[in-house]
Amino acid sequence: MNARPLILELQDVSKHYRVGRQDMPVLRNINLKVGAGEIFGIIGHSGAGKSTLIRLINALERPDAGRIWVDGAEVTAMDATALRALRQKAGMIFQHFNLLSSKTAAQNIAFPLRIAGQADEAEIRHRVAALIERVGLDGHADKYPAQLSGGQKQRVGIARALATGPRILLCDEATSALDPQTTQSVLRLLDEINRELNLTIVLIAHEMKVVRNLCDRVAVLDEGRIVETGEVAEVFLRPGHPASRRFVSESEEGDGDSGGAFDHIEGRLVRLTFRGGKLHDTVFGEIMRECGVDFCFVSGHIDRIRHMPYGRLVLGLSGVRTAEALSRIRDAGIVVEDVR
Amino acid sequence: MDFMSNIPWADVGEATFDTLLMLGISMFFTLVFGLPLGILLFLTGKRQLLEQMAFYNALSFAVNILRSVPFIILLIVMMPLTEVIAGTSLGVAGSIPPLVAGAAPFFARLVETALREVDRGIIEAVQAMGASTRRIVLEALIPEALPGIAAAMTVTAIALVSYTAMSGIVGGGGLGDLAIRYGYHRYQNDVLTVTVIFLLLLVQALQMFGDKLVLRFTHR
Repeated sequence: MNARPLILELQDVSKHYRVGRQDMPVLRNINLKVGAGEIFGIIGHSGAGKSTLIRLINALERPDAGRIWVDGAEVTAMDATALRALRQKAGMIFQHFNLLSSKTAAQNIAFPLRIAGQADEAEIRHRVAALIERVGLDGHADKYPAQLSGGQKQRVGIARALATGPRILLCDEATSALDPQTTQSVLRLLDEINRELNLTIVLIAHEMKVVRNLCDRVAVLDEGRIVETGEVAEVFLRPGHPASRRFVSESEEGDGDSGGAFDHIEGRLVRLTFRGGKLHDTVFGEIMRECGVDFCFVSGHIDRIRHMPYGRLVLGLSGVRTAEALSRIRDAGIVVEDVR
Repeated sequence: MDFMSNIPWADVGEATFDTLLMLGISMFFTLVFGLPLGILLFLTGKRQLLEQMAFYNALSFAVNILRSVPFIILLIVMMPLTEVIAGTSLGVAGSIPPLVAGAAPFFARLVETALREVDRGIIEAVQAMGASTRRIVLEALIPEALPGIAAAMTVTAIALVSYTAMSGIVGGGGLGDLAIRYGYHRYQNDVLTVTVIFLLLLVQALQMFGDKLVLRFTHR
């Protein structure tokens, strides 16, 4: 969070639903802090309570216990009027877009402005035109949602959510209904908007991929509890909780020694994790050469977490000075784990 | 054209006018009472914006009572009340209150159903913009449900046409009454045929106009 002012805080928030005669806990003692300008991800399987959690922020749902602050104001203490004012400062986008089918793209984007009491038609037109251009929907202003593709609909959703100049944007599985390519372009748009407007984004997802691409920090939600919170790179590369490990392994190809698949490889198997600049540094090669250690690639991948490149490679090593080489690699800031 | 020669065209004309008059006036009041009633039913229903189950159940029960009474009985039972409302329980004026009392609950149910068809996600999105319940209803729910409401109006108008046929009981006149008086009581099949054709044309016209309206409001 590096000393960003807080924009969202949840303190000991709990919620349960009544199903028949039983009380089903949905969220248990949730504590969360999000800094202004951050992109914060909440990841969880369906049923983990993440939809409820994000709806607590703009009070579409109310907690049974605990307190919630948005931008310094306590949501859990607000009356109906204050709540409406809060919601006008918190945009929201949805998995199924939830656009009004009876209104054109432009009318959908203008709608929150009218709700917020903007009566100056020229001003509305001006603002809508700017938003349409910003989200890349030129030429689609007068189309109805039914005439737009999924990605275009979500762009309308984003423009609509931004119309009133919110301080925080809530994304409810915003890309789950989109194909991979469209997902990427929508995530890119969100990333740009975050940087341009210093807009805080809180998103929920059930896939690590979305979080890895977009988020600064992530909270892992499992059975109504936050089991792990941290920088995305940290949680992604060193997941501390079984639930986090599950999410990471779902988004990764398996790179472990599963079922003796690497039995034929001689020598020692290690997993090296390169983070950031280490990936493009030649120090690894130098050490291997100086120690006379031979290596082969067993499995691995190189990708990005948010803006940070990383590589995770499983290597087979052989040579008398292998131990020395590994110790020097560790000293160089590359994480070494033994596989075999 | 011997077949057509006995038709009292002046009566047919007057009856057509009466039918249209009853239809127009009763449709107007059916909308005036039925639309808010339908919205109220929807809003106070289970898991809706103004959930109020006791109120909903009471309202729902009242609507069901009016809907379960056959129109011809309603026409007779309502006579004292009709006299208070319309000043008379006879003629076109006397037929309007029972027509509205019969059609408004029917229309209200259809409106309730049409509103329920609106995606809950849309309501949630508008709520998330900070809209009040009033604005959600007026600016999101009704526009979104307009195709369904237009279809409900069409069905209701056609039901009203068939209700007006019974208003002959109170001297309300109209095409249905003409058909009974000439066709049934006097065995004048030609008059019966003409009135049936007129009614058919009227229903057909209403349906076509209604379908056009639905299409006009549909952007899905």
